[in-house]
Amino acid sequence: MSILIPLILLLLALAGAPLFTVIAASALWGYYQTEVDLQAMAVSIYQVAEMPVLIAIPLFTFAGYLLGESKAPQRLVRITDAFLGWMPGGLAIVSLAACALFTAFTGASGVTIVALGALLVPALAKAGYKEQFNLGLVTTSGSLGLLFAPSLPLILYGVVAQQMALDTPVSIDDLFIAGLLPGGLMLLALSLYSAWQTRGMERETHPFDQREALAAIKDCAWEIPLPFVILGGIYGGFFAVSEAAALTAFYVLIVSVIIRREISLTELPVVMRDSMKLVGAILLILAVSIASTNYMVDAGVPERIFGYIQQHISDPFTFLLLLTVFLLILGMMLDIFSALVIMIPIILPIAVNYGIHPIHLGILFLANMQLGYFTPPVGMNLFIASFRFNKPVMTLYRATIPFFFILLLCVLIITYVPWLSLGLIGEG
Amino acid sequence: MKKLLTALHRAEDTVLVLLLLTMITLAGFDILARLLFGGGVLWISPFLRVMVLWVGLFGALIATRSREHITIDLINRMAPVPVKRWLSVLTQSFAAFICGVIAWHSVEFVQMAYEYGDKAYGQVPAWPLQIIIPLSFGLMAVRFILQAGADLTGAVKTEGQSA
Amino acid sequence: TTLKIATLAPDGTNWMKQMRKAAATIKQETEGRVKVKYFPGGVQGSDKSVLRKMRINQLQGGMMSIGALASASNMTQLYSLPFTFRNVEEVNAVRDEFDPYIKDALADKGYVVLGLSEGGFAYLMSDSPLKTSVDVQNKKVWVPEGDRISQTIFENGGVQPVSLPVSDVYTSLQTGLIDTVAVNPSTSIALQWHTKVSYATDYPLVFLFGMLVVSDKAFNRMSETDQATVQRVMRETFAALDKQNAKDEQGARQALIQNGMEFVQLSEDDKIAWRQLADDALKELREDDVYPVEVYQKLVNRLEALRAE
Ligand code: NA
Ligand code: NA
Repeated sequence: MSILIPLILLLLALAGAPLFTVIAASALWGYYQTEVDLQAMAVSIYQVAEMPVLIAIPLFTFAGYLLGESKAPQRLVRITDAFLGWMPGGLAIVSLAACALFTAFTGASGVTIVALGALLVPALAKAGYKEQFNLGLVTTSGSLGLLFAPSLPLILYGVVAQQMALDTPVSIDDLFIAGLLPGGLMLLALSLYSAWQTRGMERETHPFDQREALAAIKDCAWEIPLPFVILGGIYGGFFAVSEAAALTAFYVLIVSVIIRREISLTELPVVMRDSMKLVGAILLILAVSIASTNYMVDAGVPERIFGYIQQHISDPFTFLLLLTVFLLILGMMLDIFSALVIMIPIILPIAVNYGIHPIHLGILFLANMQLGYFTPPVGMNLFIASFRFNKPVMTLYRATIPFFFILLLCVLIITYVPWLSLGLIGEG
Repeated sequence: MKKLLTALHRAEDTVLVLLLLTMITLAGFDILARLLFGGGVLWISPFLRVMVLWVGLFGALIATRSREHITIDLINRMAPVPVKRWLSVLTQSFAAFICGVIAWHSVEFVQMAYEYGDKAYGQVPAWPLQIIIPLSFGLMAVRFILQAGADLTGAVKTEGQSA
Repeated sequence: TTLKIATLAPDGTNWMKQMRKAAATIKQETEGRVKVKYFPGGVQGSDKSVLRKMRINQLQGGMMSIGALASASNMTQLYSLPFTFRNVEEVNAVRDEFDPYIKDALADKGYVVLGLSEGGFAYLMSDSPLKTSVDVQNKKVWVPEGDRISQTIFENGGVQPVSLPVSDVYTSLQTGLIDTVAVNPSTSIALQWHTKVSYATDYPLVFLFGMLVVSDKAFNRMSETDQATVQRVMRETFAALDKQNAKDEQGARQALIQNGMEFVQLSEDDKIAWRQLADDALKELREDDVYPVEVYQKLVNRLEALRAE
């Protein structure tokens, strides 16, 4: 009996039942068995209304969707091109940088591929890059930037880790700083690969043009303050995350609807509704997982798993290796939000027992998940790109392979060099 | 019946948009007031926190309408169409059952908050703010049942993608 | 019976160590019939969340601030009015007589108080020296969410206080949303607030208490001898913790001074002006039933008699 219910729930999840119902069912089953009133689920759901940092989630998501629907992506590509276009592999690096920045704001929900991909793939083709490379680059970049503030998964990791009440506190501000070097490493590695691609190619770069640069700056006049105010505000300790989100949403709304008028008043409700559907899906999973986490911790699940693992693995090195393999498979099957709320409550206490810093774990977890977005056969971005560019999924498998191995190397470096994650926050 | 559903959908969309607009305006106003005049408004922060719950549950309700909840698409992507249909009937019914159970017990939760005179913040009673939990889960349950029914009769269609 | 008890205190603190020791003693003395299990670090949510979970028996108890049950009975505010006590000796002199009022009032509401835990005096701490209420008027003062008494006092003093949950205070000090807090020395260090303020007004504002409550539904499930055991072990543990706490507060005060915190001294006139401000606020709050007026008057009379001795 004790194994039957979890097995049925697992099968239902694999059969495509909404994940929140599966997680809720497991918590309800736990309550039922321990004679806790099933109202406990409602109590946990209401806890969502008691976490100040969650205000950031709807506000940042809305701002990201609105930016995606406006002409901000075009302007972003123009300004990065004006400043980075002169380098070897310039346009490819432009694409990487633009995608990373955009993903940081939109949280890798596929928006980057849809909004920027359409611009970048033709531009890269015109500049002489091979189609295979272009598709691979854009599909990969769809999740690049997950490690940069104010990305939603970083915030969510902080929220979930805070639920665990560890001896080492996990602050979201620290996570934002911790992601800088590892995210930068991924960006650098892909940029070097892109530059290497241009060998023997006719120069697609153009010299730096001061007039174009000025014009591009002028074009972006309303967007330029955004990263400086928001990121500067958060990194500089002037704003709390939720305050930065409030400012961003308010500002982006005014600029796109009233000042630039790129989003009409009839489009606005549609953008709002679509963005809140994603927020609803995420918050629902978070709400029911608060309940299941509570139950799991109560039942001592992490301790038991740790006890089992410890019999076979004694050193952190092997543990990290197995964790990487596990996370790659997980990242392929689950979206990043579900993976976070389901697995972190189990993995985090175990990792801490192996002496891994919670912030380092968060960064390596997200880095693995970033890879999962385009790991064949089922990474989500492969399907989004296949749909968006009207190419068979097999083509995208082949296109992303070199990118996959480059980022896998980066993930291993991030995993085994904790200093990359912890150095800047003074814990390395 | 169809008219009723359309009216309900429109009402949900309108409420969600109004909620989000209020949230952005209040949150923006609050931070601007702090930056410019040095003092925010007392009730805004706790009110915003409750609005997160409302916006999230309304968003989830609307995501149910267009079948956009987070799922593991493993079997669905590979299975042939008839298998897909039957799996969908099964999983949607399961989802309806779970949402129904949550909605049912949330009613008790709200009743209890009412009886104990729980406060959400300041002197604001908690129960009117909590009522969204049984309401949204109840409506989600109904929606999952309707979808299971539609899949059963073969009329597989997903509304919402048109918009 | 298993008592699941939630607390905001992080695991690994001395407080939690003592509580775990109490749990072990209880288990041993009841021959395993009563087990106490803790959920430290706020994993079960806010005090409000914990109270909701106690109602449905998901949790059986919680360690919470004494004000968390203010809505159940205003008697919980008996010790929480400003300038009631001037030193710890005064607190200890009246507790035997007045603790039962709080315990009885909560017993009527279905809560068994297993202990009141002394948290030490809160002081006003700010980024500039505060001597008179005029000094406070252009300050951004934090008051805990839902704390009507503090709010009324500051409003009467011409200050518009900023109400925030405890979790938001550190970032708000950092961003300048607030610049003044009322807190006890050890908490100011534990939460790192002391790094953001440099002056403490050396006049004890209010004496802080926490309390350990369990629901009577859970408590009455135990045999009477087991109930007595739990009560006794917890009482002894809390007495020991109170002694330790008084030392910790002294140590924290020294640590603050070493860190460059200046304790601003007040003249006798300043002190009288502060107390007058609080008295006016209390008069205003009297009609609202926010605090137990009659018992509070009795407490004040007892303290004045003590001071006259
Ligand atoms: Na994934
Ligand atoms: Na998925």
